[in-house]
Amino acid sequence: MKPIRDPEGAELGHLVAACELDGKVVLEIGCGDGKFTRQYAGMPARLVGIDPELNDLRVAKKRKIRPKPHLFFSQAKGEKLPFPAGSFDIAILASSL
Amino acid sequence: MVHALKEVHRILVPQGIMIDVRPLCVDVPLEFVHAGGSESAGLMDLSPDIESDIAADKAVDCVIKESLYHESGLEYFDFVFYWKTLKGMEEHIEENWKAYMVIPEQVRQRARILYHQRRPQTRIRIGWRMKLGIYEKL
Repeated sequence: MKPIRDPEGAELGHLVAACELDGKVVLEIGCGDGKFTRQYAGMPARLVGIDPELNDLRVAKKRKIRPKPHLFFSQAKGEKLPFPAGSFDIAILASSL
Repeated sequence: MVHALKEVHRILVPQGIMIDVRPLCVDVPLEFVHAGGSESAGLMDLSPDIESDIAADKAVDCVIKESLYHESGLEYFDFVFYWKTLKGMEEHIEENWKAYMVIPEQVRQRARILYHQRRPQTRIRIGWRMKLGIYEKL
């Protein structure tokens, strides 16, 4: 039986209070199956979730309820980010450090 | 870990923000929340992964000392999980958190006693202590 996870939305609340996500280009490192990513996916102009686990990424892709052209999930590790220098406004290390 | 933080530094724009949000290896209570209040069965042991926790903090300290980032904020909060059954909680810990969390035998026994009291609307609660660090690229 799966638990009820963070019903008060504490993680999202603290993230939103910590930085302005609206209209920003955001990278989430360690997105897993995208549970957290989906919670704030409507805010950034572009959002990329990366994780080394392919099975989790497949779940994340499948659970994109509505097509979100600005939301991407890719396989990568924090130690080698496949992006050009200066390409993100915000990087979120989600339990991945 | 330091290498990952330097990679993040590379891909951020000037004055870009890095958010480090993660659970801490501090022991947290296993609680039974019911209509009349809540009761603790004792503390869960979160020591198994403490070396990773310390290493992550050291990595952040290292990149701050190298003047790659400035710490602009630090917050703590509880990330809560609820289960309806004790079996459900034990299975979840066994399948997902075995490397991070141990249920001490005394806590397990106390949890069984509390669970079998079957008070109305009982839910089992574990709140991971989370750290959220905000760092600005220099």
